[in-house]
Amino acid sequence: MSMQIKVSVSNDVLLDELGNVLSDRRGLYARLAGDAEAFMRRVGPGIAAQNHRTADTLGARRTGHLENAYAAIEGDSDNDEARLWVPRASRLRAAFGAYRLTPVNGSRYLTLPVHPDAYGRRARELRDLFFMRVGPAGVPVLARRAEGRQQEGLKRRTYQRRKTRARYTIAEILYVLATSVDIPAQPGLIPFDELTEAIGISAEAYLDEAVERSRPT
Amino acid sequence: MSTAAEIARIRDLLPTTLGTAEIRSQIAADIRARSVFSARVGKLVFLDAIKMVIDELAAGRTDFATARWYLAESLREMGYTPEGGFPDAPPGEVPPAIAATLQDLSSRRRLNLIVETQLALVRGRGQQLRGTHRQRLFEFPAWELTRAIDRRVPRNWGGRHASAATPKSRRVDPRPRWIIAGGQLHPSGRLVALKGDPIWGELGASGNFDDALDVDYPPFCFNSGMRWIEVGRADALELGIRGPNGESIDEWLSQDHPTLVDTQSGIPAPQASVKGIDPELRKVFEKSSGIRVVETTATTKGNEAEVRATLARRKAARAKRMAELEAQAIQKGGPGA
Repeated sequence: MSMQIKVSVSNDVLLDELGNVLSDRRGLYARLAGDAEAFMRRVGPGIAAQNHRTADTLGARRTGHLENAYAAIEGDSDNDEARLWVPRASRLRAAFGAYRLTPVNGSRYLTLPVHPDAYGRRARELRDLFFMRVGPAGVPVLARRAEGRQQEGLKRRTYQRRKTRARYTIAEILYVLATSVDIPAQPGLIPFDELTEAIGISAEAYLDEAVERSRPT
Repeated sequence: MSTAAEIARIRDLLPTTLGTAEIRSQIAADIRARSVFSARVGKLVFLDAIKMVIDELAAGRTDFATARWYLAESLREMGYTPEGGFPDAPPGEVPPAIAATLQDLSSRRRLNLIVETQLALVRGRGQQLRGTHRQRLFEFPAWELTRAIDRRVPRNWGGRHASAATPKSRRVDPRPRWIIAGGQLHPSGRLVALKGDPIWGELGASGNFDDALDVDYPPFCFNSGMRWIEVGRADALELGIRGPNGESIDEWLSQDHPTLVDTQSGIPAPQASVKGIDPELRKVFEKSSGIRVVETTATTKGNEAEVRATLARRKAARAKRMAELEAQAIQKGGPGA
């Protein structure tokens, strides 16, 4: 993002002050970086509050991962520019475009939580998980025994010619395992248009304050 | 073309009691250095042309029509147009003017105003210097302000000029300028005060009147048409003219009376309006001319409050817009964004 600043003055005293401000722009860039960071931290919680689809769908408690991502946005600057740093390893990456998520650290699968107890927790944190395949496609999952839950049904025993009644232990699926996941783009996570205008407003405020300092009291 | 008589009349207006051509040129130099412009004129080259023209006029080397022609040619060479102003001026710095109006620098009316004002200042200052010579002071201790040239819409100087022809804008303050400047109206209606009385400075103070020229001698303000007539001692005594604090004529004349002037020749400190001029060019101009560049009184009066009010409005507008941007950002960040 680049910005062109045009200044029109008709007062030599004012021009001196603005000249000082624009010749050494460290202060200006620091102000822009700070205001951009503050803007994102103000709007972030509001955007995050609308984007907990998985937790809401599962009925799980929100982890606040998106709020944490917004809180981790930082601005910095130097003599030449102002910068805004957005954590890449977060959901905010989708603001810059779609991407494919794949396992890391030698893992074979991604664990996608499909149970409220699994949301926000790593598979290794849960005990008594076992691997199994379900459905006609044999989808790999991690499941556990549902304590105290049994279901009556018909079961054919291998040595009998007809099914007899038996009680089954229900298995709860906690994670669906996947080798990769495509995350769609979500540009609204970072309001680029509003952020650009906010930075422009910040620059105007900075120069107006220079004008204010140049006026005799 | 003006006649030699007009040129001679111009010469006669300069204080002959001061004698030498060097003093006359010094007065003229001081007068031309004090160039008074409206906020639209910000071209140093044109300022320099005016200086040269006044120099020639004051020295009697040219006439009024030639001076006006020279200024018009200077503007033409600089590429000035009423609609576009000076070609190299910052955009919007010089508002467009309607051709042939007073705002049009190249118009006859505007050029006449510039030259007439400068010439009137030379005359007024010359009359003041001539009138404050020691011998002259004793014989003619006072000035009377009278109208030399009729005006279609005269200003209200002594309370008798306001008429149905007076624009409504001037009817807002019906008080005569003489009263506003702190003077007392004589029963005869004559506007008389001792030479050096502070009222003469008040009449020409821009702090009192927007059209004043910051001088303590006629014409006091643009296109006033007013002049001084010297009042003899006998006449002043008969009228009962006294100093501002009741001093008698002799008591008053025995004192030193500071005026608006602060230079050796008694000419007001040279000031130039260079609003809109490139700062580097302004510095060169100051160094080469010796002129002190200041804000014009017409632009500084009330300017501080206006600037502060503008800054406050902008700040409030920014806060409002920022709140709108935050709301928009949150709304756009919803599911499916």
